[in-house]
Amino acid sequence: MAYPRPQELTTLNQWLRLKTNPLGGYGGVVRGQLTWDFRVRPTPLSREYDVRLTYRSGQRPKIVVRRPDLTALAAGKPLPHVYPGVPPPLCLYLPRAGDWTPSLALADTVLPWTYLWLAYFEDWLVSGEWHGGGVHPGDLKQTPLRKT
Amino acid sequence: MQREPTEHLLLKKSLLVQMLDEMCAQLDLTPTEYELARQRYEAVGSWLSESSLAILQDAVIYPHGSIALGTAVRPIGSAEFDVDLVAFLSRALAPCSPTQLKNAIGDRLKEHGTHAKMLEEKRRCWRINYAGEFHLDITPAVRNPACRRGGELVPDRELRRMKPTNPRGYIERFKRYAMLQPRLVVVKSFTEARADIKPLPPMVTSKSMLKRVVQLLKRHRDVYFLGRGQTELAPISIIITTLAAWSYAHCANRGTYEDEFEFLLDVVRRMPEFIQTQVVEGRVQYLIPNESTEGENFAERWNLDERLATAFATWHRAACEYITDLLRLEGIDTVVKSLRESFDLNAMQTACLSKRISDPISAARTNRTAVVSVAGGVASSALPSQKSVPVHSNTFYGE
Repeated sequence: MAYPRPQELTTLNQWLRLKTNPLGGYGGVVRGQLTWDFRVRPTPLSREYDVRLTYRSGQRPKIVVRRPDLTALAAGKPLPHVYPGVPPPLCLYLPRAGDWTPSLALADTVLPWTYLWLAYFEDWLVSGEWHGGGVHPGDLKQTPLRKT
Repeated sequence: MQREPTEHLLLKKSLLVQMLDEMCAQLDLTPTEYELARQRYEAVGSWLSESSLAILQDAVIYPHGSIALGTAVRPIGSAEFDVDLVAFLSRALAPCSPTQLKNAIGDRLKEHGTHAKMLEEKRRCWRINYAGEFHLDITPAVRNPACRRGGELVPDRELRRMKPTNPRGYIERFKRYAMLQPRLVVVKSFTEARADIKPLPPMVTSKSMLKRVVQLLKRHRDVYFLGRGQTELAPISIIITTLAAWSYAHCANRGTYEDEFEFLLDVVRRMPEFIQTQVVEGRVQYLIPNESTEGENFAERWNLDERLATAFATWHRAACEYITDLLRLEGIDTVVKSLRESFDLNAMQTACLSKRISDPISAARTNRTAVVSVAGGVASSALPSQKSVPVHSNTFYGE
């Protein structure tokens, strides 16, 4: 039975939600690209991270930690739950699983998930284990994804 | 906003105290181990009291030291905890020969097939080695007729005389100190110019803060002096325990604190204030009296070797600095690694520390109660003063 899909939020809408969100940050929309910089301290004992979110309608949001250098903190160990890149974009949710869709506000999803990711990251730095759960591309039984 | 930095600092201090509490719990005996120790020493006590030797009949065995006080820490480099025991011989009448008392215990223990194999003679006590578990150190004691407070006499180290002590009295007193609670003042907010004294939430530590302070300091001392190859200069545990107890009582009764971290730090800082000194014939004499009996000075060896007092002062300063500096560290990994190094934690103990932070987060995610705020980061419930964002469920992905 067909029913209307939830409305996709416009980029401007996403930006408005970000501007009024309690977790703060700053940024704007330039030629259709939303850039939002925010500071994250995942737990009171944690260090502060400067994070940048970029988003364009039709694409997946991209979240990178600009400072400090996560790779340097990891001292040579490959980072968990990141996409390839420098700095590596964080994998905050399972694509196509409905965690995030363009009808959801980034402010309500991506921002808090970044806190989670960084909290588990600091735990991983000392324990060597990722306690946040999650899956890897190899775990999925669909068409194998090419690892680059 | 002015509010957040201070709110964050208070939350950080609370979390730090919880980490230190968790760390001490890791270094402590588990309830099962306490129970096993009790079974073991009670069995030894029965064996002693069933002896045909008159002096041993009605012997009562009881623990003293860290096992009795609840301040045990795992020894570094040894698999076995030390369980200090007194075998109180009510039938023995002073004057007693220390050697005679010690031999009576030793001979009886040797009559027991199993104990005899694990037996080791020490200067004034007998040690039963339960490999991989405990050392039971048994010291004979008799009543001290000169003490009005039910004190006892134990052999001195050279086995020449009996010297006064009062383990049961000391333990009682320590437990009373440990039950004292500090007064915490809650600064209401930055828009109202007054401080409210609010009833405090239950202490964030799972054991009395006094016991945790003692455990912290003992372990810090162990690592500090071992690292310098100077274990013979390390202040003895009874001195650390006694000074901490007095400082704790003073701070709990007299001070008001914004949070438990400040209280902990003040307790540690003030310890030297309770060392009594006298100048006798141009030399400083140190006195840390056993309040529970006459004539026992815990610092008596400081007056025989002047390096000991200096070693205490240097170590104490380092301990205070360490705790203060903990607050400046940022990053769960940084804090845990620092604790690992300064307290010589193994991989399992270290992992427990970082899980102490991530487990509540994971539980909150599962229960769908996780929220995020600027001051508190990820928490399992919203802080009243913070605007929070709920965390929707997600699955991490990627390599």
